[in-house]
Amino acid sequence: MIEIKKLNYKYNKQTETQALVNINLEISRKEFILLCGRSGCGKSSLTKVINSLIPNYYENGVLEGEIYIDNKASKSCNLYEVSQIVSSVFQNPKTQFFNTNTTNELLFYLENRGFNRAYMREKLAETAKIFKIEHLFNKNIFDLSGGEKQLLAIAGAYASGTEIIILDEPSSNLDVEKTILLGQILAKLKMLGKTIIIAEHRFYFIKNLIDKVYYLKNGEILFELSKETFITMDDDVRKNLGLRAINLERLKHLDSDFKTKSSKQLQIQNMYHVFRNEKKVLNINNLKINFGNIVGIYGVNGIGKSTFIKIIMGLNNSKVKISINGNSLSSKKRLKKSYIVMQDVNFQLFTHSVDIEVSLGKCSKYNSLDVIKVLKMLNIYHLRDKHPMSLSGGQKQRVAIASAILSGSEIICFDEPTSGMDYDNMMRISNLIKSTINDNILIFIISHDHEFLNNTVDKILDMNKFNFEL
Amino acid sequence: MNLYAKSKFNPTPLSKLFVTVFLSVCISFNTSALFSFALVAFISVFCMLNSKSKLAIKSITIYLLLNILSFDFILSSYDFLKNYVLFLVIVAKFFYLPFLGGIFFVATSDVSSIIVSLEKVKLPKTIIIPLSVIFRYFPTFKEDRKSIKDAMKMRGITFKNPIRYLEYVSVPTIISATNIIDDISISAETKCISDPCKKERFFDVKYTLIDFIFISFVILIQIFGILYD
Repeated sequence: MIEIKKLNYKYNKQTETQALVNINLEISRKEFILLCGRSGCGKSSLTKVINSLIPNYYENGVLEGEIYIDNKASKSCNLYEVSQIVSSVFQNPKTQFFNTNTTNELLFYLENRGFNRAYMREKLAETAKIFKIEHLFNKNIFDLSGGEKQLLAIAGAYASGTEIIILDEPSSNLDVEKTILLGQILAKLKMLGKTIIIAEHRFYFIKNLIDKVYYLKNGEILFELSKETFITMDDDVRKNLGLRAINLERLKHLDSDFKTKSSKQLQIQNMYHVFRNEKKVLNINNLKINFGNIVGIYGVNGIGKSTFIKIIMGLNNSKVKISINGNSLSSKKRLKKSYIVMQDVNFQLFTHSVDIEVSLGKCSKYNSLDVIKVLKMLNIYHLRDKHPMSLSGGQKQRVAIASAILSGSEIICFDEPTSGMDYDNMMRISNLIKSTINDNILIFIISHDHEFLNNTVDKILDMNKFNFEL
Repeated sequence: MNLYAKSKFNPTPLSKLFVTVFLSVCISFNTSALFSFALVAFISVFCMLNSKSKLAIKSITIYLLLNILSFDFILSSYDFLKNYVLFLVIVAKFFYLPFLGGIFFVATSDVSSIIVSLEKVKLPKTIIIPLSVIFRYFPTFKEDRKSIKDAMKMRGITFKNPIRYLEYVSVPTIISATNIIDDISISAETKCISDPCKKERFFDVKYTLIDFIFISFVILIQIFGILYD
């Protein structure tokens, strides 16, 4: 079905770094292939070669070698010709749709291929039956949750009827429940005889589906594993390879208590927030948390984790009384004391050098020596003259953390800091957070990542407990 | 943005686009105040018919306010601040109609209906695809904008220093725009949007009486407005 011979690729003529090195690969019909490896190992690039975004969309790169899909040399094909055989599902549910109407989106591929309405109607009914998504038809895509969007994307890939379906980290924005559901849908696709290629960091939802695993390092396929060897892999070997847990870890710290070493205490009273369009409220009567704690905020998508954080930070004007050591704080004062490192850090980098970036809104109690100290601690001192946008994702995240510390924030929040991260990077951010905490700081982490939470937090707040039906 | 409401009163995207372009051309002519107001009211009625009452009320109120302000300020003295405000008010009034037409277009059309209606008049793909990608960008950006706003609040960047504000806001905005447009284009391309075959769209868009009424009334009011100035 897919044959790749002696493939080399780099994204830019000028760069030395090869994104893919000497790839030789053969995938037969109906196989379920997992591509894994550390962030930046080339697994994503490899999916782009197969769906022909390389070289058709990324035009500046240098591609050597041969690629045959269904016995056709895909290098000489247009993107739309390859897309007639290969469908793609991407990572970000927000931007992988072209239409704003769900039904339109499902049929968009068929429309573009020139199929007639009768056929589309038939396909629509069939897709509805298989994926049970009739309730999602004819809706505004922006009203769908992340999980529903990903479900729609996969249903769309099925409706297009292509033999091969490629998925690039489809679970990275989903909670555990939705990820498991995603696994069930992929099982259906496999049963229907599709050839599936998936690049992922999380394995628990597909571990029973895979036929073959390819491990990539620095753009090279280092080795190939069978399903059995992969799922019975030793934990130390797995960590050495930079891979995430193969089974879903049980969440610890759900019933543990807050640390009470610090005398400084945050008190939340009478938090009451009504969710628009839904008959739900977020209600917290009285919650006391001592500073010096790392608190995990846990719950399914849409339960109100971000809302909870935003209310504490003073970014949301819902009714609440928040005090530190008995002194009640207005939302304005809270905003001055708090900082959030967003899931997409690109939204919070504003200036043209790291140096200026971290000093923007700096607290007056820090001087330039402190700036250097913090930059060194976070290992971004050597990047201080660089443009923040030119850095890698992890480095950007550290710049944001430096800004948080230097702004004198006492409440630091992280929104999904490890989405799409390999084991090494996950541990790095976990250790970083643990080294940032002191008796004057309180850290909240919104996360679905069990392995990360177990490694990092002192206590998990299950948001389910604060959520009530109206 | 909502779905393309299949209401009887929703003109096709092409008609709305035409009206917007027509109104932009006409700003170079003097139009009598009464007829300008009639145009604002006419488009507002269309907003209302397409369940955008909030937009309709807003557009009429703001237009009245602009008129009152400009009338009031003309009588005033050589105060710099007042003249500055007057200048802004007049500029806003000047571009009001095409702007309103554009907003009506964006608020009541969706991407697929735009593609269909442009394909019907046989516009080349090289125009339709970029146009629809741009159009698709706005609702996505709306979501990102909230996050950018929050991030700026957190850093204490406010509009008190407008030049700084604009400098800072431009960085994440441009980055998010390139990312969004890249992703949307990729999703369209992998769904064969460039396939040259003949296409049949699932939801059809038909030109009806309402298009005729919408376009002809706008043209008539505008022309009479220019003649009777």
